[in-house]
Amino acid sequence: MIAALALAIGVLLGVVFHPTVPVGLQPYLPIAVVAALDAVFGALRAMLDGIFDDKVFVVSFIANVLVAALIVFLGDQLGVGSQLSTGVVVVLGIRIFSNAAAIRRHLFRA
Amino acid sequence: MSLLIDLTTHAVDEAYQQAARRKTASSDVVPAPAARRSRRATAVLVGVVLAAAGALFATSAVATHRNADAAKRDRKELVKQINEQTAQSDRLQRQLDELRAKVASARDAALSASGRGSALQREIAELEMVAGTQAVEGSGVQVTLDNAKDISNPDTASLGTIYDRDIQAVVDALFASGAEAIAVNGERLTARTAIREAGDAILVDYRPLAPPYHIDAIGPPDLKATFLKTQTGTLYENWRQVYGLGFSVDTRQRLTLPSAAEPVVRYAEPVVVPPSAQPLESP
Repeated sequence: MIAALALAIGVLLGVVFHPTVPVGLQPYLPIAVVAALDAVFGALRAMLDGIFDDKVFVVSFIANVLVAALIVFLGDQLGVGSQLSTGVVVVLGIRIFSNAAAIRRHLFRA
Repeated sequence: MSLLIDLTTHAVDEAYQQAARRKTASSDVVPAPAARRSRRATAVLVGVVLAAAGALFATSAVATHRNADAAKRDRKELVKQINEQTAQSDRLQRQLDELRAKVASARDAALSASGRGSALQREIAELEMVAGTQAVEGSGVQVTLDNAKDISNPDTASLGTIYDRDIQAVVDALFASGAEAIAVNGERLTARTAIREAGDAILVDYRPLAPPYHIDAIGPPDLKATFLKTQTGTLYENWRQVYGLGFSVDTRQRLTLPSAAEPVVRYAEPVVVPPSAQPLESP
């Protein structure tokens, strides 16, 4: 409940203030979003599994976003930025999907 | 494959399970007040992180929409600028044509005063006609080139599309067949007219043209027959049948070709010929 509220407040803050993303950070935004989505879905599933842990969530969220951005940065430096971004999106996308499926099983028992 | 299986079976962060195992191992121990405090602190941290995640999503969404809007706006602005500049260029072209006509009539008036001047006037008219800076009329042919009606098949799309080199080939073949003056979509060709491609547009004398391309050529009565017998003529006739390329050659009794812009010569100078060899006496 509090988590959903915090998420909503964050969305509201983002919409109201729509902070401008520095040009240098713009390539990392989509990957950061996907990583954040993955962390949130993972946390939701862990919560439904009854094994949610505050510390793990905080650490995994920050680490995921940073690592995803780092991979893209590294890829950009090595000239394979778009390929690595695709890889990150595919891996995180699969994870989001299977977590969403697990959440669905929890909620609907189907 | 094992990587993909790993990915789906370990979708949830391993750390959650480890933390849960640790918790069950130490569940019999009553949590100390300090531990409880730190748990409350991490709960607040979860809220902060989730709020950050929400802000991240919202920022990304807003930025995406704003970028799309900006791209649309930029595009509109560019189209507007292109239209404005084209109108401006057309206006200047008209002004240039008027002024050129004025200069020509003033020159003719000055020259026709004397017999020597009239001779020069005739010569100027002839040279201008050949150079393409004089509007001309006469009988000839109109060659029409157009993209094939159906270029949806990407494999053959380029074969049914007219490029700059097609227009170049037709113009070359027309000149070779005896054409004396040629204009493409109303752009008169001179010795310095470039037919080239920029992006998807064909430029003749740096002015973009849109299909269909009408190539007007004034020449001998048998121009059409001669042109169709050239390699280019047979080739394009062939392509019309095979790829549906728009290609037609029509005889025209009366064609009027506009004059081209007067070429400005800034750097080239005439070769100095000894006075005895000069064909024209200086006045």
